[in-house]
Amino acid sequence: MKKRSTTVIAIVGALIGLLWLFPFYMIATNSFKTPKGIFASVLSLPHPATGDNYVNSFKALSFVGSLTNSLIITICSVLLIIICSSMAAYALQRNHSKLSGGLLLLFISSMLIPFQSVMIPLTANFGGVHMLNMWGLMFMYLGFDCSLSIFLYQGTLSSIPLAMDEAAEMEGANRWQIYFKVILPMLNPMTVTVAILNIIAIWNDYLLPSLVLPQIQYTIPLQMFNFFGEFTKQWHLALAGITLSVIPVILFYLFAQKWIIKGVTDGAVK
Amino acid sequence: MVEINLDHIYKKYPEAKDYSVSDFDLQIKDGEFIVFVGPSGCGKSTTLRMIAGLEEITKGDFKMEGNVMNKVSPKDRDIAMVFQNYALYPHMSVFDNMAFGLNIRKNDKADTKKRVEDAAKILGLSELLDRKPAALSGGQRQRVALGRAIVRDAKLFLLDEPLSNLDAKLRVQMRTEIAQLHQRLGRNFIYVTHDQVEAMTMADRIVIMNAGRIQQVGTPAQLYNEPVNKFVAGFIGSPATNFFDVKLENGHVVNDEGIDIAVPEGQLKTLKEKGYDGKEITLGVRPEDVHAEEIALQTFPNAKVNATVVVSELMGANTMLYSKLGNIDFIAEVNSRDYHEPGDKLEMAFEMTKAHYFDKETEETII
Repeated sequence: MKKRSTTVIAIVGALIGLLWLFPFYMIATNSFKTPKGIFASVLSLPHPATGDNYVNSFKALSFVGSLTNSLIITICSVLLIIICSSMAAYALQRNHSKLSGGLLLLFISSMLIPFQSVMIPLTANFGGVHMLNMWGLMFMYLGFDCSLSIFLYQGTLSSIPLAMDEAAEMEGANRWQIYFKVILPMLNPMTVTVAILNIIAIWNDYLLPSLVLPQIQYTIPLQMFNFFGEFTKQWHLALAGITLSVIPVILFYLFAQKWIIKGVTDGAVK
Repeated sequence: MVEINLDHIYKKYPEAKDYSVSDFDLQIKDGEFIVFVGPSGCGKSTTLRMIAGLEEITKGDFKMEGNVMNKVSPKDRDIAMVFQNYALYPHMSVFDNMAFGLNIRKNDKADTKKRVEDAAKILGLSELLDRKPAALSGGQRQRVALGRAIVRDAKLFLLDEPLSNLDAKLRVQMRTEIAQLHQRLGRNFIYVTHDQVEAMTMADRIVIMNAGRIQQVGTPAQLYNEPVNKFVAGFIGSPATNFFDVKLENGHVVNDEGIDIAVPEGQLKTLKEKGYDGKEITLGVRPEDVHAEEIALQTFPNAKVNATVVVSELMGANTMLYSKLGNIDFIAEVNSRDYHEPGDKLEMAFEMTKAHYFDKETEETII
């Protein structure tokens, strides 16, 4: 009886898994088809398969330039978010004052403010100080995405005993050394989570960069818009472009997987 | 020569009404093994943390070699500390954990390697230097925590209940190892525990604390044989001392529960001189000074009581007889050859020459 129910669960799980993979199948297969091939049958395998879409998409997207812009913005923003939010969470968690409690509450509350409600005054203010460029965009991401990251880090930090800080202090470490040599490495699993969440959000973001970036600093999602005109949509090129653009994210995920180790803090304390 | 002075130290937390530690006054000689012992919340860990510099001293001076250290930061005090939960860095190997302090101080790499390897050899960790803490047993982690302290060759070692997370057998083994380590290093050790057996077996001198105050400072034998008050008499020794509320009348201590025992002449003289004749006092008799064997009953004919055994615990060589005298519970530790079943009614004799007498109001020792 038990075996049968396990089999049923496995089949249902596999079907749901296939459902999740279906968009990837659509993107990958159609990216090798001609426009005619796509409209003839969306679901079929490419016949004949062509790699021209990738060459043309690569050129149309100015792929090297837009990939560089996407990489600079994403990596710098995520690094800033990780450093600032983990430090802020460390300070808030270790200082048990009313002020730190209030500040944490403010950070959490700010997550409830919809981006759309602040985007116009935000771009107006940044425009006023000539910051409507990728550096200004990084600053905005830092502001928007720190709250959730601080909240996540704060939870993990509360499980790291104060004795770790005190032991390092007794050994001769100053505050910075305690943070960088002891605390930050112990936050690695949460750092990977924070990084994945933010990389996906920033890499795919369209609205904020479209308001902030000059054309020369366009990221991949902004360049993709070139494939969708008012009257024609170049699905074959767009799908090839999407495939190219997800490769870096998948590579990061594969690299980060080894850091997602359950119970990395095992053995710190009894 | 490292002398440590704690001159009338006080500690009060900002939100607290009362002092957590009051008038803690202690001089520690070079190379001494001092144990702070007392029940939970008595202020022993707070005192240790003030010595470490992890807590501020509210009043009083902490001196090392005559220098006041109150405002010196923990890293500059030349003190090593072993924490109750070990506080090992999980992302570092055993070697890196032990070398952490030396690396932070930018010590010469070759010297660091030598010191860590020497410490690992002493502690039997040589084969484990590449492992991470998660791959170690409780006892091995404890050794790494000790190793991290000893590689620094600090002037003073602080150990905050380091054995409380280990099982009973390992605790006994590590107790011996820490004592040997102290002899080998010849440094000052201050060890905090709530386990009086650890205190008795390891200490040169014990500081027994209660409610933030020192109750008595002395060698294990002094604390056991000459307790200054009822608290010390009750805390030191396992099982704890039996206490009986009695009245001194006509050379006897008596009460309504069936005690009518002659007080030995010397003790009686002292009690009378101190004005306790006809007054209520507390009699303290250790369980091992309560006898049930025939020879003892004959030896102490004026110190017999009629008791009922409630529970018998066979411990091996000895048996604990949890007994009742009227409505008073007390424990007799007797030879296992003299085993008695629960429910047995029997005569027991108190060895009154070893008894202690306490003032009922102040709980200070009279004799």
